[in-house]
Amino acid sequence: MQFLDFVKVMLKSFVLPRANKLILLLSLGFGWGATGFAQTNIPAKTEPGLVVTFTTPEGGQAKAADVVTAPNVWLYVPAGKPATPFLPGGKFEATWEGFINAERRADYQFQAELSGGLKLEINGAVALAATGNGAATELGKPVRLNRGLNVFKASFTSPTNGDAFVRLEWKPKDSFVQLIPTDALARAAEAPNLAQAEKLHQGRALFVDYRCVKCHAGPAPESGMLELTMDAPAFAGIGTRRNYEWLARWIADPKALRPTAHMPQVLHGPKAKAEAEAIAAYLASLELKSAKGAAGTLLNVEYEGSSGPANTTLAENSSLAAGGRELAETLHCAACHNLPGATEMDAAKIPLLHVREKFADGALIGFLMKPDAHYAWIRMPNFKLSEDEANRLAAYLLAAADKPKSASATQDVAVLERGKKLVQTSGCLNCHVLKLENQFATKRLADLTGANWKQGCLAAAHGETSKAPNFNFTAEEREALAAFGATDRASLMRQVPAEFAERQTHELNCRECHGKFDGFPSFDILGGKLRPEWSRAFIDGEIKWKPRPWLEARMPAFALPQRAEGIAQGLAMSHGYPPQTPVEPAIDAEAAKVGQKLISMVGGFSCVSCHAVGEFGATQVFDSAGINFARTGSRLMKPYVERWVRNPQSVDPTTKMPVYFDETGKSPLGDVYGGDGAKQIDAIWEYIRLGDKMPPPPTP
Amino acid sequence: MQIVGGRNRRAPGKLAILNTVRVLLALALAAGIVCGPGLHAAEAKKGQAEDLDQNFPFQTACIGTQFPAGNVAYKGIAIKLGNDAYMCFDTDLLRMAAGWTGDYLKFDGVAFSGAHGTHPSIAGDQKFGTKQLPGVADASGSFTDPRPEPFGPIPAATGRWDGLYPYGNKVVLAYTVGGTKVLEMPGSTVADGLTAFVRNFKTEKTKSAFALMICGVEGATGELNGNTAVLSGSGNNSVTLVGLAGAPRGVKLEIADGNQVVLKVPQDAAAATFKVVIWNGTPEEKSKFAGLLAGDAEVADVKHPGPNHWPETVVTQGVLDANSAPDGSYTVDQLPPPVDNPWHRRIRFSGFDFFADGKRAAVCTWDGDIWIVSGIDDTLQNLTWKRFASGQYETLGLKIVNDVIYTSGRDQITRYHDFNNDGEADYYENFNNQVTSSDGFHEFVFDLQTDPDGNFWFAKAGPVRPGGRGFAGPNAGTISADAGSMLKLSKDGSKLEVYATGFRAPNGIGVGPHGEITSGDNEGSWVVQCPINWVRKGGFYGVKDTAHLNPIPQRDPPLCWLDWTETDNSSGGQVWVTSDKWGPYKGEMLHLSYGKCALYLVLKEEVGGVMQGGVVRIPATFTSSAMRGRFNAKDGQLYIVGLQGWQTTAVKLAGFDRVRYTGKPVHSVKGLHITKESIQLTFTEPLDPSSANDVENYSSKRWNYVAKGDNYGANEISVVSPTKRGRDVVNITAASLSPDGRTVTLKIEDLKPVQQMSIKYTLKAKDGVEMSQDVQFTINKLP
Repeated sequence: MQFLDFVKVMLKSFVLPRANKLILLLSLGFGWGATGFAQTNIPAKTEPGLVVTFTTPEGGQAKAADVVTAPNVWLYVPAGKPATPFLPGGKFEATWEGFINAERRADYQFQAELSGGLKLEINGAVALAATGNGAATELGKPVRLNRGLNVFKASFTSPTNGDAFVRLEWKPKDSFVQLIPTDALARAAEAPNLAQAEKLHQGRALFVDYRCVKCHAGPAPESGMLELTMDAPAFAGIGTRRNYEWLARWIADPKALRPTAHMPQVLHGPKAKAEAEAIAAYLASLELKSAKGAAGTLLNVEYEGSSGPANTTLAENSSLAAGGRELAETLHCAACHNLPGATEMDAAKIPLLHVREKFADGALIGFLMKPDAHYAWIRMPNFKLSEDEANRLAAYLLAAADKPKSASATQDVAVLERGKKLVQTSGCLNCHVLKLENQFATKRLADLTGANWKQGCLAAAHGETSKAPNFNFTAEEREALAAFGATDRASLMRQVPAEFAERQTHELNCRECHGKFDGFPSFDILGGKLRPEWSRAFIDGEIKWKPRPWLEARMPAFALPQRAEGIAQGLAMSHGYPPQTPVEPAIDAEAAKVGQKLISMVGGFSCVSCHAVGEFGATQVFDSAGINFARTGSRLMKPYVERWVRNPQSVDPTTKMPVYFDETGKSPLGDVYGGDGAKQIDAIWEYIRLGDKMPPPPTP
Repeated sequence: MQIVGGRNRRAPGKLAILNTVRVLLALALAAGIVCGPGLHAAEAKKGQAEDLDQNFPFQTACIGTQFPAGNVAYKGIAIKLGNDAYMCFDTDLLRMAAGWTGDYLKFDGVAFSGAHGTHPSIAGDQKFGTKQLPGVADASGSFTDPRPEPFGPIPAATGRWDGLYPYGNKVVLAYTVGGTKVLEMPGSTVADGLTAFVRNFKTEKTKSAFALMICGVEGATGELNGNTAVLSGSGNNSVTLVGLAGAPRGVKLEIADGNQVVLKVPQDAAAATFKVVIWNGTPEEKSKFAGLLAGDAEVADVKHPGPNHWPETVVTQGVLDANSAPDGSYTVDQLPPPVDNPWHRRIRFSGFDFFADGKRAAVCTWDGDIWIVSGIDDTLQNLTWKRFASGQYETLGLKIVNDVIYTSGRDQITRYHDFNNDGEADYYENFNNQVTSSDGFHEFVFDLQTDPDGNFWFAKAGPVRPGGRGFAGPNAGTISADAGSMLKLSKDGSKLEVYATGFRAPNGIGVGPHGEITSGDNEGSWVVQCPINWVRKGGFYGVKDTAHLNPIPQRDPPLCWLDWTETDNSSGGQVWVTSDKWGPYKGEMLHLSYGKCALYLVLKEEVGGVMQGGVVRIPATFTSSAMRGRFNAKDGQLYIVGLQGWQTTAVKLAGFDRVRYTGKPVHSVKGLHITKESIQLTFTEPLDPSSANDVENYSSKRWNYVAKGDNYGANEISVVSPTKRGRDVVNITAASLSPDGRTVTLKIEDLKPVQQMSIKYTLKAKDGVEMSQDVQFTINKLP
């Protein structure tokens, strides 16, 4: 089967709706896996990562397939759960294809921690073939890698019972078994069948991102993708928080104010402007009657209404503003925003020059202090600002912002009534919550057939007479939504944490700080590092201490329990680890005692030079403080600790932590466990597991 | 390991009778622990603060006092006087900075407790003090400070610190004032329940008049009553009395500036031994002062040394072939340090040298001890350690010239004399103390070497701030004249000069056979990575704070940079291979990494007047860090000592190792030559052509560094696109082996000057031995 034929088959399967059938139906006999990705030629251009093809047996000979990219041969799929949203749960196969890059000609051996079957082929030769039941496999035979790219293919079959997982590792000659560095793996830049699959993923993501299901009712939101529950800013009391004039312009054309806005242009035609003003006037009339009662969850209710400092007062306080500017830098606000005075405006970032027009007097401070007060899924995180900090930031932003136009909302009852009616009938209430009867209705998702996915909201052009909201989708986005619409949309009901985490961390711009700033842990290692339980609590803002107190920046709270949990678990699973830390044996007190000595300056590695142990301060910190050991056991996965202690620079090339063990794992401390490095690291781990109860190390 | 009493030596393997109860206790503690060769079971008992307060009459350090305000003895000798009384002598200012009773010292500071930003200080109750001004008057009789900055010694014409004689539980201080030799033995006396401080002087016939500052009390009024000065009325119900006893004619006490007591000595005063007694107490006790003046002044006869302080020796057995290079060419023998010693002295080796017989070496420690080890032979089975000297100020360098030991410390270059040849120093002579020193904890004086003309060389660190960023300031000290400099001292010790500047923490230098001067440094503020500096006179080596130059010039290019992740994060010294018996490297330079505990062969060449090159590791694993190295002229082998601290991979407090050449062929690159378009690597052994000609067996990367200013270290940036972080892959387009099989020419695409480049390879030699090496280098200039 040639590739074009394959595409045709795929497309055909999209346009013919088939109840209870999966999206992609392919004939196994034509052997997609066998020829579709047979990359015998080294491409001129490569991208990082590998192409992964997932397939599930679909009765007889047919297979359903999905194609994604992944950074490494890491995977974790709980028993019975789908490996990707486009496949049903249960048995599956996964094939990673691409290239493995060697700096120079050398021999390597491969090994996997595995539950399932794995066959690894390099340059067409089998490098590892093993079935694992959860433990590490034997090392494969040495394979010679040529300098540069070597053809790489790893095929995984899920186990009959239990969770499926794989974590592939390699052992360079004369060294130890370690993770394959992600930058050693590459895939061809052009992979057409991938592009088509990515289109489906994109369509599905757009579908939830733009809240399509809020109008086109579909599956019960609680049982499918978490994003089906995504909200929009609540209307209650919005008149106290937003300025009328800005509301009117926003409602008329959100994208004109913010190119990345998700809210559609709902009003069209000659009356649109007046209608927008009517809606705005109505919304502006929705004031908080009792700040305390209506916003009981707010941290600082006094600023919710107009009792806080007026915008003008703050904007004119230049010393506050100067402090705010400094704080904005410290907090890396520029990761997501175009800060005032920025020389280059990034279209993907949110501008800030409108804040004075947008926020009612006093409301910006309230927003900064609790951005999610009225909008749970807001992307802006909570920086746990003190009131003083919020004042400074607000002063800085307001001082630089454009001055509001002094239009005030009409009090004309007829206009307000008209605005109210429009809110009830235009679909506003499908996304925005307000205690008000919603009189808008449209087709249910199940009733949207092929042709529907090119009309209405998805029409190429929205004329003056259009009734459908205009999301300003690009042609590419419309195509993606159409492709997704042509599937059975069962994927909406499949919450796959790894994929959720990938999408959400992208939405939340995690990589704009992690990996870009000195001293921040790189985002790409987090899933294989942090215990998902701790990671969840940290993302959700529950952890009250800073792991790295020396950093001026702070990790904000992306407080939304289900999202935090999904990200935390998904990150772990995308690195091949389970969504919950497996039950661990009781702490080995004897080993912990040895560990206590090993971290000390008395016959140990002198870890305490840089690491504190609870109240026991680090002894010789020279620009390289380490994290307090008492706060390590609850944070880190054990395999990560092993990797880190064994060779810290293999995890973080910028760390000052020394390497103590030689390539064979021998420790320079020959008098503890006969110099067995692995046992010594185990002992340190047992000691660290004591957490708050760690006894202080011996001192010289 | 055994601890053997000096007079009760037994055969190795049997426990000797020990002459102190303390040692028995230590051994009893250690007995439960299996202690193999080279292992230090009792290490856990070492170094506690009380152990630092050794059974020895003095310790030199920067000593903090309680008054007068700002009174710190930058080079202070804290002397035990008996009767729980102590005085601190300041060798820069030739003054008794303070006297106190009760507890001795708080052993704070980087050497003793590890703490940054502090130094030792008086632990008891201070009874008297002097201002931080010269303790001897100049020719005009003035005590004002003539120095351009308050660091370093006062002019020698006014007063010169000569040295110190330990004598039993006393010390005798020696100095010259206005040409007159003065010996002073500090002491204490108790009478009628009162304790007083005694300054016993022994003077020759005075060549000129001079005056010594004894003490002063802020706010007090002084009055003279015969030979007794009384300072009272300072308002805290305290009175200070100073009495003079046994003085020759014309010698007297005077009150200066109303509340300072000065000892005046006229010209031609007769040679004499006399004393000044200082007491502080309540006015009610004043009447008992006369009793404190009783008895004759006493200064020990320094020409006849007292009893040996440390008759015991410690015997350790060496470990041969503790580890070897993969090709067997070099092997490491360990010389276990005397960790279990009767005095619980902490052993952290910081400098060493061999005596002419090659069987003995002197080794100094950071805590200020010098040990002499004998029994250095093929077997190392009877290494006998004798403690030779103690109480020194962070001795981090040692050199032996004509079998006489010299050390470098924060305070001075010291020359040691053993008058009675009993294996213990009887006179710690100030060879030169012109080096400046403030109260910064990080002003280490590193290493001690001599050049072919006999001049001495050492380096002084900059006053890094606690936490590592930036220099000088509160708790960090002052950038004094010599801070962050390479220093040259004339052969006779008379003249110290700053040779080059801009260093941060050059923990180790090198002096080549033709007087080549080199240093490493420690990555940190303004030091983007560890360099190997090829130091020229007047050169500037990167740290703006310690440039001492205006305007600050461009940094001299280093011979090479060393990547801290793989090669060196904290340099030790350099050693030149002077031996014919150490394989194929005679005439080459070696570099030691303190941080990575590693030994490197330096590959260097001169291109257009600029030295450049790189390093390749010589496989050897050391007991502790690799900080100082020397060749033993007798056996022709390389010896390395080092200690543990900060971010080093060392896990033992101290190590002393021998890197011995076994005679087997060495498989390594030994030459690096840059041409316009290629890099030539020359090897010690012929290579297998099929392996050497395969270009896929080589890989190369390159990158530059951008400093993080005051912050530690640097970011690595691309050479091709400098706005990008990280390293560029370098394209090696061809590899060809020379007809003699020893030189590989690697053709490099777009070869250009770069701060850091590495070439890694796994190659087969003609004899079948495989070698994996990483050559890391700097290209300052293309030819």
